[in-house]
Amino acid sequence: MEDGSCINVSESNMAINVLHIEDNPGDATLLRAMLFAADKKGFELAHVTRLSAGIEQLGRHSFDIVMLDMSLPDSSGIDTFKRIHEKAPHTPVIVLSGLDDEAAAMQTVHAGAQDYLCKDELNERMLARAIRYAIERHHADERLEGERRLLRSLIDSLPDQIYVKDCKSKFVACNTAVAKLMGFNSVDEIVGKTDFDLFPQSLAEKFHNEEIAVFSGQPRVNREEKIEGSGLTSSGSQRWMLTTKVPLCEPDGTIYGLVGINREITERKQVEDRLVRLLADLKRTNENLKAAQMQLIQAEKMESVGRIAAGVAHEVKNPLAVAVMGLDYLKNTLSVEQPKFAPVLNDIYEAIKRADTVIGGLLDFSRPRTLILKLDDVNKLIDASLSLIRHDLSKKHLTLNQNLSESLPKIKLDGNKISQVLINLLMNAIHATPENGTLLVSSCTMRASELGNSGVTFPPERFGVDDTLIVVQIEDTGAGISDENLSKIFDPYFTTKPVGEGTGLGLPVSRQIVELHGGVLDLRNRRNERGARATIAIRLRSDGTKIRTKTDSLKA
Amino acid sequence: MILNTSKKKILIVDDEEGITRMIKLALEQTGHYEVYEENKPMRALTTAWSFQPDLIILDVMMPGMDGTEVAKLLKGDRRAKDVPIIFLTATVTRGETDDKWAENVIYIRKPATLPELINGIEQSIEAANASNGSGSQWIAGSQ
Ligand SMILES: Nc1ncnc2c1ncn2[C@@H]1O[C@H](COP(=O)(O)OP(=O)(O)O)[C@@H](O)[C@H]1O
Ligand SMILES: [Mg+2]
Repeated sequence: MEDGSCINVSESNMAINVLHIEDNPGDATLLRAMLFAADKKGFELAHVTRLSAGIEQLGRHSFDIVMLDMSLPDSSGIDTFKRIHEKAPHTPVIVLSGLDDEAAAMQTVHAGAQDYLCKDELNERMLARAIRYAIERHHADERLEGERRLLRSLIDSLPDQIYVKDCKSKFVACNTAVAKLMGFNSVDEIVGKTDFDLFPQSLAEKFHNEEIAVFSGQPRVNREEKIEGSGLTSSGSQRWMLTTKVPLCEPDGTIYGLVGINREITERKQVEDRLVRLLADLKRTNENLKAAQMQLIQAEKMESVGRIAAGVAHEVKNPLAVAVMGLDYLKNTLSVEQPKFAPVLNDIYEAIKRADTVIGGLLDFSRPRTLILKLDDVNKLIDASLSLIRHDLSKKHLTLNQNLSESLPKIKLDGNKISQVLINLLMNAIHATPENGTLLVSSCTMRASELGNSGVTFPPERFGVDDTLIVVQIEDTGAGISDENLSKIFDPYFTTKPVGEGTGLGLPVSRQIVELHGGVLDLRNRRNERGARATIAIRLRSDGTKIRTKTDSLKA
Repeated sequence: MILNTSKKKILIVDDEEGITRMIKLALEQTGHYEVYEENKPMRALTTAWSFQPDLIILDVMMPGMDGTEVAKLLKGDRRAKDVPIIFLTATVTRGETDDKWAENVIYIRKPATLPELINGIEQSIEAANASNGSGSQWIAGSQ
């Protein structure tokens, strides 16, 4: 029988094309007969007797299956299969063996053959079934292999490092990103190893511990860390890595391993950082806005106070003018004729003067003021102010303690206005302190930062941290200020004193004056003792330049 | 006649009668002044023409026409321009009294005492006489 002469090329798509490579003519005939018997039209059989002819056939036609005798004139043993498989890797092969070479046939299955059949045990039904199964199985294998390859290239194309470990933390699989990170050429060099084979002991232990946690039920481990070594991006910022480990479970929940994913999160971190910074900026902006709003509200109050003040002043001063002029008229008439009226007239005059002072204070307060700056000694101003209120001190039997710095440098300020502030604060302290209480007046220099540490708050732009300040403090042993009132005491007209005793203008006017000096006026309760402490802080300018005042900054 | 002219003639312009009356009483009581009250600021100039004062006292804040406008009117008048003016003001502070906006003008705060007012009147008239040479500016202008 000549090779190729007996090839039947079927037109039917339904028939299975079989290439039979068999040198024994009896076996060949038998197989043909069996297939025909099993299914008359089911198989188209091509038969060749040599391996070379089979390879040639595979190059020319496509077959659904190859039935291969292992021992051929031009080849024998597993080699026969390998050469066929090499030629047509996608064509399933059933190896036909004799009783004596069954072991070798077995090996071909390991090498990729679909099946092996012992020639001596063949029968028609089993043969047909074996062929159909082999083709089916082969298709299934091909599909599986395709999917496997797809998955493989999928995880290999991911930038994240992905790996699977078994319950002993041994690498079972990983993608090429893992191999690359660890400096290996292939993932096979990692599979089978543990972290103890790959990392320094301490690091490996840390990883191992978190994996033990995963194996004992922790649903997830997340770890963010800086990438050491080459841990900088091209723009020079720190690179970050997120490691996630989750357990792998059987359907019944038994954990049989874990999946780990390392992902670079530098970008996310940078965005986070930016967000945090933005948030901080936003908060600051918000606070500044609030402060500005408060200032606006305060300014608006001042403005309306100013309008009211001018109106009130006009309305009140005219009657006062009439009264004063009238008094002078009466004085000139009565003091001659009825001297006993003189003191009465004087009392009336004093009362008018007091009313006028109140109105004057109001006007003072409402007006934009200008400072008359002169180099002055703050301690002298304190002494002068104290001498004016000595009478009030002794009336209440108050003890006055003084702690004035002897080395206080002179500074440029408006002495009259600062005295006005000191008197306001001293009078408030006297009013607040019960009989036999104590007042403490002190002066010193300190750094702006020290002032901040002592609890006095001020807008950060007011002083530099290293600025030297002249600080005057007036402390009393009164009841202090309630939390509720604390936010109001600098409001114009806020007073807790009876009508006629308090105007509620002392503190706002005083603060205005101190702020015109570029300074800070603060009033709050003492920290650990009863009573309140008022603080005046004005920056010391060693170069003697003019203090920056509000009016200056407006002009600028 | 001669005795009469030795009294200084003061025109006081203020919409508040209480003030003009009281100032008139107090000033005239001294025996050195003759005071004329004008409660309508619009009529200040014509009253000045007829009364021919040695000094005019003006309230700064008046309805209709305020003191500075009246003063401008007076200062723009050929006959009245050299008459010294005292502003009475309810709202003025020390700072503002310093910036004189015209010659022969001073400010006095309400409520002023009689001595303060007299002091201001005498100073103003003296200063005006010094710069004008003679006392009576009205003679030259009167017909
Ligand atoms: N040393 C102080 N101790 C307790 N409360 C004070 C002190 N100083 C001021 N206060 C409170 O602040 C309010 C406002 O003070 P201030 O503006 O000086 O107006 P006044 O003294 O006319 O009431 C006071 O009525 C008082 O309630
Ligand atoms: Mg007060």
